[in-house]
Amino acid sequence: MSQINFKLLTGHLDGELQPAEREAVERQIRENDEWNEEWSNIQRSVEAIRHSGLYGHVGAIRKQYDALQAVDNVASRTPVRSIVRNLYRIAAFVLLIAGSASVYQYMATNPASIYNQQYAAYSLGSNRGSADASAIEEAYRNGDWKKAAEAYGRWGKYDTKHCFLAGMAQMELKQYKDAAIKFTQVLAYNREHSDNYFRDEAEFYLAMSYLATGEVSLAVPLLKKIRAESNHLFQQRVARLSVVEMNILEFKER
Amino acid sequence: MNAEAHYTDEELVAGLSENGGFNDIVLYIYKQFSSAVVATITYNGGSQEDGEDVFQETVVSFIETVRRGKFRGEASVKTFLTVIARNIWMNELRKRQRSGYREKVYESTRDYRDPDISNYISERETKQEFRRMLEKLGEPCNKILLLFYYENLSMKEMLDQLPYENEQVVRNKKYKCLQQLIGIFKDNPGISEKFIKKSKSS
Repeated sequence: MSQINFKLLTGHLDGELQPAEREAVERQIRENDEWNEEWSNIQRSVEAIRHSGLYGHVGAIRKQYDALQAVDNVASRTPVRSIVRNLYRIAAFVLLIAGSASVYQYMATNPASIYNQQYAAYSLGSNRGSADASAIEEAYRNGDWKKAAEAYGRWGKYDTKHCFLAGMAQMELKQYKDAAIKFTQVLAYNREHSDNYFRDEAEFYLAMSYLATGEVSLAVPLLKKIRAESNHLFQQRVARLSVVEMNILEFKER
Repeated sequence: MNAEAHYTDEELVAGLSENGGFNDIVLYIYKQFSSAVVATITYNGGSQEDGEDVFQETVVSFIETVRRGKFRGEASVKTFLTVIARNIWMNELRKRQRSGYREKVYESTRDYRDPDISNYISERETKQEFRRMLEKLGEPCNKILLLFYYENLSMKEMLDQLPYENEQVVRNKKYKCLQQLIGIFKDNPGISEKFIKKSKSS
């Protein structure tokens, strides 16, 4: 099939044709075997792409589910937590109706406010670097977020540190869902290999990415886990966030 | 989504048909149904990873069934997922030549039979091959085609995520990538036949 005809078919697929062109292409598909076969090829290819996209999308959610399960496992080792959680929920409710200060806090607490309060760009410490810093690292150090994310995309293989940095670059680019996938990959890799490399960082910034996209039910369990781990790198930062605020977030989600 | 949120089957099906809240609903499906399905697979000779892989394929099959309007609601979502998963696993066992396990699984699927269930099996194999075709494309073609045909992004939006100078470059690249993918399919006529059969049956 000629390039021009193929372009007409893809234009038809993408809904870019004028009505007269569309009608002519549809007629060719009906009446011409070559057009019909090529149209079938195009449809099949697009179906393959959509299937592959959906498979990857569900795979990313599967990883999120795995991460949540890991959080639940930690929670189940501290049975008193559920009692405390309920007490805090009651406290949050009392605060909610007690007075204007509480009302103000209730009104002012939302995923965006918590994100703004907690989020700080990740700076790459010198102890993490190496003499021959990679292109990804170099771009990240220079604050060239797009270049850092693209360099990792082109790289095409997994590496914990660079995967995390690519995720951070995407956070800076406000590509929060892509960033969440990177952090989830770091956590999944660590879990599979019993490693902790960049685990704390990935957990904290995964929670941040969930807050940025308003996915409170995913963010709050992670924040509570970080808060409960005294040796977690981000424990002190998350401890600035009160449990009442976290419960208000959850309460508002209902 | 609230961690304790509950969806009825009708809400699940409606939510999967559109994009709003899709992630929450799929996560809910994982929370509600994955452990039982994975347990069934491990009970029938699979590893934990086998179970998780089968459940992922089951969820994808379910979403595609719903989006094609083929989920008739005659069985509950849970039953439907269980039957798909069991059939996927039975087929996997067949491939692994472990007929003893296969018979056991077969016996346990008698509670619900969908006349179209065999479609899921042949479809699954076709889809697995689809994914392999896509992998053959490599980056950045894979990403470009996914951004356009799965994420439904405009050329302008794609430009933000790709290392190209302008929208026209992205458009040309997308065109060439699609041609490349079609070429891969043409080189694999076996897949074409399966696709044609599937199209006729759906």
